[in-house]
Amino acid sequence: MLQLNNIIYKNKNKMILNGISAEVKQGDSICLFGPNGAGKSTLLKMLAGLIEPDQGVYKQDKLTSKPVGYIPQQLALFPNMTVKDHLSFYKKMTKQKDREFIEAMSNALSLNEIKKKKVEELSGGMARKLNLAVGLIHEPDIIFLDEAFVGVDLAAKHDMLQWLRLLNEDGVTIVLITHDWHVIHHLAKTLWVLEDGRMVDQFSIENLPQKAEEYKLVDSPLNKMFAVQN
Amino acid sequence: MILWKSILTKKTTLLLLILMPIILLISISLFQQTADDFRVSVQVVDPYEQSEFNELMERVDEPEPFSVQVNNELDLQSLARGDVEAIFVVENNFEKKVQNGNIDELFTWYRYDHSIVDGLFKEYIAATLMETVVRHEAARYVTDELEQVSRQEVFDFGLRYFEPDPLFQMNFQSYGHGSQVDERHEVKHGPILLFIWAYIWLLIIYFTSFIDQYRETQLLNRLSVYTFGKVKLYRSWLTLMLVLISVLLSGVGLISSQMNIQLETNALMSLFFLCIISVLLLLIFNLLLKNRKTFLALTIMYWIVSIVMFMLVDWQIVDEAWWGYFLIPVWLS
Repeated sequence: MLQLNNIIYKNKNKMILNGISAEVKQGDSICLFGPNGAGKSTLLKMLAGLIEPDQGVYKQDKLTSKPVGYIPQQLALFPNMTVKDHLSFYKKMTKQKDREFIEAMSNALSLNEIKKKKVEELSGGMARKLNLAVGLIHEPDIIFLDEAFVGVDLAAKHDMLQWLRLLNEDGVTIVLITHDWHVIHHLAKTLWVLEDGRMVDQFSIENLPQKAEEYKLVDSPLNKMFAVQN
Repeated sequence: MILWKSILTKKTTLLLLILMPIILLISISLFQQTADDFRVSVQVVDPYEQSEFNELMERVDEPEPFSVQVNNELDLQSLARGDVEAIFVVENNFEKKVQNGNIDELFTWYRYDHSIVDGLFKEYIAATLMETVVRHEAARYVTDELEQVSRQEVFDFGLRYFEPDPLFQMNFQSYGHGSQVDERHEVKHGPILLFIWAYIWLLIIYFTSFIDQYRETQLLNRLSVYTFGKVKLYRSWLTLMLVLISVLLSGVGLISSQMNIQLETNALMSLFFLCIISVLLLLIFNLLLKNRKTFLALTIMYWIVSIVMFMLVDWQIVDEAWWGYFLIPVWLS
């Protein structure tokens, strides 16, 4: 579905991605994992087609004409507009005609109860749910989530994870960045470990216990992350 | 339309779009009122109610800065109170003295410590009086030489040399930069247009802050995954700017005509195009300088330099230079 071959990306002469090679297949659920400044967000944006590599090859199979779903870390919403305004706007923008899907998503994320509320009146969890919903409104085949669960309460997180798992089971590909082990546990199938712009490892979620043990022996910031979180 | 709704329903936007022009309008009307109040009152007193003097006063059109009151009784208290700047009292036998050309001490001129510009009115009334005296003098000479003509006939004949137009008319042509213009039709709106441009420039800076906000919250990134998503947002923003500027300038045109400030349609059209150029310029700056502080520093500096340069050119302190045309308001001067 997506292929990266020896990708190099620099920003102001600073190496952000250094020789990344990887492949995303349909139905995958990949978590980009690593310390701050490892290049996770840049790699996610590159996979989503938002930025171009300086060197290397980026291939995207045109299996579908649908745009990707991109859910940024920030609340990319209009603060003084209502939930309903947002859903209508993105529905028109993406020319989505499947009302049933929007209705099902609104129910799953409990958005129907807050349709008339403005974004600035919503709780952190509710706003995050809307942030997710507007990115998924056009039923994308691949979804990119950049720290989309930050500041989300348990109930909201549960709704969001349930819906994303359902989509993944239907064949939708998910690539996400998170440091939340609860999210990784419930959503990720594969982990890509990044450090200083390099891909240091790729492994299945089943191998996480062994890998955690392994990283404790390596002198790197990842060591601490696995040790603390595990 | 969500962008329009989102921007226009913000309290700050409403404040800038509605309250600011209202404050400006009040300021302009207060300024006008003050200008109207700045009229010099003078009193002309004729205790003997002479018809020749009344005819003279009818010919004294109220000159621009003066407000003339004609009375029959002398009230020096009004002069002391400062109600009037000066009082002119006409002597008895006004008609006879004028007809004989005896014009010395025809008036008694009362003034006070605070009287400043009443001398101008004295000159004005004297000029009108001299016109009558000259005609009487001419009539006297002619009737002395030619018995068959009446004095009144000659007196009236003399009017053609004074009224309704001056004896000579000169065709005025200015010579300098640009095309030659007839000064009678030249109206200076520069400062008003500059004022409006300065307000609109600041308004556009405010509206660009929304684009920064969309960039910071990754909204632009989110929209860029859709076909022409980002282009649609910019297009919507530009259309909003176009509509707002059109409405504002139409409002200015309408209100200025109500307030007797005749802004030419051509001047407003030029201002409209310059405002559109300003919008495009600020959008380009915003796209190139993604740092908000740098953007603000540069655009506000441009704003200040433009205003100062406009004033220097308008007051003819400096000559227009080629580089001055990089500053948008200079095109208005």
